[in-house]
Amino acid sequence: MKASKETIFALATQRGKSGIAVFRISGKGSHTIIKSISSKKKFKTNFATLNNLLDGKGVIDQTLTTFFKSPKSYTGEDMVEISCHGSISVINKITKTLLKKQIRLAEPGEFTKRALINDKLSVIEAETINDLVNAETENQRKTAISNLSGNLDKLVNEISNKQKKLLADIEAIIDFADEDLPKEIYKNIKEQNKNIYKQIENIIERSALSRQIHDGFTITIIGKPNTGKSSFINYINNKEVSIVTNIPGTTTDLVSSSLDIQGDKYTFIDTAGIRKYKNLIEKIGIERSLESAEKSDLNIVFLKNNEKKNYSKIKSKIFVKSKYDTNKKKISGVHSISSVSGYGIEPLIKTISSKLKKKPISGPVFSRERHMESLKKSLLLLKSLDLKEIDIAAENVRRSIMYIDGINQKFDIEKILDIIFSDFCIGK
Amino acid sequence: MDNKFDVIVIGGGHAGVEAACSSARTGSKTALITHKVDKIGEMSCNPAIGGLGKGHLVKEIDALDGIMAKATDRSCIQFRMLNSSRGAAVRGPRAQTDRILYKNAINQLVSEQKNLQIIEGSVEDLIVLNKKVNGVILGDNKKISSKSVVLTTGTFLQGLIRIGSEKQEAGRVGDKASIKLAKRLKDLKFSIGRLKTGTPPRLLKKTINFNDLNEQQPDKKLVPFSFINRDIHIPQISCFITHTNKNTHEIIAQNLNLSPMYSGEIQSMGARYCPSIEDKIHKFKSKSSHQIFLEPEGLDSDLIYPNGISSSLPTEIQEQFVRTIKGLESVIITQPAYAIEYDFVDPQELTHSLETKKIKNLFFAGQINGTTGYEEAASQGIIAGINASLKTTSNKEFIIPRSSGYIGVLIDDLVTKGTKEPYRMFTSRSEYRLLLRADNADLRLTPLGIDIGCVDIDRQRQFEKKSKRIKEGFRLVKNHKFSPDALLKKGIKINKDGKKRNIIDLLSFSNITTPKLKKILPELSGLEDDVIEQIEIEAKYAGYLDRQRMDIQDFEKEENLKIPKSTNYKLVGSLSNEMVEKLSKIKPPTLGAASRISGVTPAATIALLRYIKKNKNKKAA
Repeated sequence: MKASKETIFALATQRGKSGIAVFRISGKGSHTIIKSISSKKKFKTNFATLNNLLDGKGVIDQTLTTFFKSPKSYTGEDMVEISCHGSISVINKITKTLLKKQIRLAEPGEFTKRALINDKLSVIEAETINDLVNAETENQRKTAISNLSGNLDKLVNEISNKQKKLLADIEAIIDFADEDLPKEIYKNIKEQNKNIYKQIENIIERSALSRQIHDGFTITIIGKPNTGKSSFINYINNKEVSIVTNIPGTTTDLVSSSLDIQGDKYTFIDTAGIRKYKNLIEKIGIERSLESAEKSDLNIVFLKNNEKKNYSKIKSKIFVKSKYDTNKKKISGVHSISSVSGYGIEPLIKTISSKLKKKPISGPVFSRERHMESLKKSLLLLKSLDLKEIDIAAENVRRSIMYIDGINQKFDIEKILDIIFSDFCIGK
Repeated sequence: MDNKFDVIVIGGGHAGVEAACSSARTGSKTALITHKVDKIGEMSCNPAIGGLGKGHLVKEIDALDGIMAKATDRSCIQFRMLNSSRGAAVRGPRAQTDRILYKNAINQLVSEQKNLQIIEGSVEDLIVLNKKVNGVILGDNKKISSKSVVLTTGTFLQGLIRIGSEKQEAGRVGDKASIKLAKRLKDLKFSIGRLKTGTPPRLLKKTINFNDLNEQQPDKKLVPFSFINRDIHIPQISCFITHTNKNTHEIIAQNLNLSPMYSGEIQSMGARYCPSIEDKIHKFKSKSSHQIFLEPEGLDSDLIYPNGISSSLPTEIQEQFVRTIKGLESVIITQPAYAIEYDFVDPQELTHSLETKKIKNLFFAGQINGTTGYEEAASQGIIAGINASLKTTSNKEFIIPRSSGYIGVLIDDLVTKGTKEPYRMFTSRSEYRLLLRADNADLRLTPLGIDIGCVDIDRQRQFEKKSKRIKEGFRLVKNHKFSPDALLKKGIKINKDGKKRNIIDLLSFSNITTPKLKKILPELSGLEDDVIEQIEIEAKYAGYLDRQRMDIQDFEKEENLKIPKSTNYKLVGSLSNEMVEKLSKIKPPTLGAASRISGVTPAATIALLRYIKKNKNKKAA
């Protein structure tokens, strides 16, 4: 017979040679199954126990094994975490041994999904865990961990509750047309609505700024061939900052490098690939770069002489003249740098980050497209609220709540009625 | 007297008469058994029908050829369209009715109904064999057999009336409670809860001074409740409005401990929208005055129903506080206000056809299911009656989806969510309010009624004509398109964007009205008012209606995913124990219904969806 809840396991750490590797096992059978392949027979919940894993013929590995009891675990189910030695052969042997038991490999994200179903996490928190696991920079980590502590859920609930109060007042006007409702109710509704959409506007603005924390900033480097673009990239890749990723361009012939500068992610797109078109007219090369320049947050233009006017179409830009070590002539409004000596690089980085980083962000922010879409749709409906058409106003507010609630929960009319009856004396 | 029927309906209240008539209309030989035949059609609380949400229900009952709207049209002494200045979707027709005229109308309609016999008697027990009901046993031990039974006993199950510290077992004032039947339901292990409701004192009209009170006049335009009626022929009279004041509040506050609700004697849950005057004063201390509607009980009645001061204070305190109110200074109370506590069955015991899950062919309708209001009761009555009848001949069920009517919303809310207080309809309960309007109840529901066979041939013919007229009207206004230039020639100015627009597009401009458009499309003059009305509403809500229609498509996708009755929720996996327990008890028929049960999370709905699909594939393979 099939167990009511399947027990699953997965390697929680990256596969490959390392000091230790961690297995996670979750589900009703997890404790019994692990006991059946352990030298220890008794485990104290939440305590790491030195334990030999056995496969029937002998010891597989010496491990630290921790038992978690439902509901106090990540998934909310009975769980076991095994820290073993991180060699491929140990990992393989443990995997094989577990597979022989009534237990299967977890699907991607299945542990988090179970946590979600067992109410250990909200939808937002589950999304945040993914952000946290994928955080590359300091600021991404900070945002993710603050969202994980429930800030976003609180914010969503706060807005949603205000919207529900707003809808309750509107519904009271409709459904209790012949009751003596307070005279100032229309004025109250307008004030409430304004207060809510101002708050949403504020959050959208704040979140748009912090979007760059999530996605990072894109900086395109353009300029004629041989102006020092690649040397600059090589220099900062090697010296100035840590490399996050290095992705060779596939379709655009552009190369990008992501760097963590003062906690933020900066992706530099090097249009060095344009050199291929060297034998064509240079203008074509510039036009190719324009495409990338158009999409980026900032552009660094490497000058050969003083051909600034060629780049008049480019919006946000910093001019740079490289090779300061060989030519010490400075031009006003142009950063002089040298990728050989490092001259001027630090001030340039400072200019870049000061141009991109505006004001510091305070308060929880939304970093996902899904969240932003919902906020924007909700905002649009509230901003155009017209109480002269109260039935349509109610419909718009109702839909605006559905968007906000869609971020983390579902809509329930009973809540609206609860508010109406607690706020107004209604009934004959 | 016959002792063999297809369907027996127990109770002659608003649920009972609709159930009996709809069962008979659907073709079953039906018996209506009631304590007292002369109480059939009695309005035991306020003398009014309809209102917001409730008016929608009455129209829907009528669309299924029920009797409530017809009786209202024959007894309406003050018609008002609530929210008449607002959009069509939130307008609610309401009638003050003459109690006697209403009761006479109901009695006439019931007696004219073919296939229906009235039996006076008290039902003491149900005959249940192998978890299936087979008939009833009367007080004199006489057995009457039937294939289905509809129970509509209202507040009569363990009814207990309270006035101050006095208590009395009763179904309503002057009527016995059904105590044995209540015990039987307990023995059958139905989950029973307790609710309370109240009613205000009745006042002697000639002892009221109306001179200085605000008069509320009837509407000039009377709209009949029934789609088959063209007019209301009853004289229209006014209601009057007065208010409580500081003195009233003082007396009540001082004597609060004498009200059983506050002395702790009554603990059952009352409706928040029907609070007693004690509640109003206690919970909303900042309000210095409360509105009271003085409603006439009839054209010739010498009684007034003071809507807004239901109470369970002792009679002498009632007299004291009532006399502090303007116009009521020397009023005489003919019947004191009282609170009544009664048993109700957890409606989660029922399926969407209102059949009980425990006992086959047994149906419950009305206040017994935890609702309040005549309209809510009648709505369940008509559905239970149709289904009780269908059950005797086929496996068909008649269920109105939430997306088609307020009756559907009412029943779906009850059977999936249950209720903790007397359930009343509001327009805000419907997610598709703009589509589910009082004006189009027939267009939405009469075709369903015709299909299932509960609509008489006369109404069917009349409906088919109307529906044809509307179709033709819409074809006309959709097919003719006009350019801004063509419109300008007839004096209608719009933006010269070169776009050709039809009549509905044009009507959505606030400055363009139907009379103006008759100049460019003279055929419009040939359309009847009800057709024009539908066209204008469609134009007014244009984008919103399309949006809701899309919502309904999404809703229907989930409704079409049936969950087999035999589903073992323990095998679904990924469901918490609490959720398994809830789902096993309620047995939602569709994925949609499951998702509406409180506490069922979106993630659980997805797990359920996967399980259903997997099992379907297994069976198909």
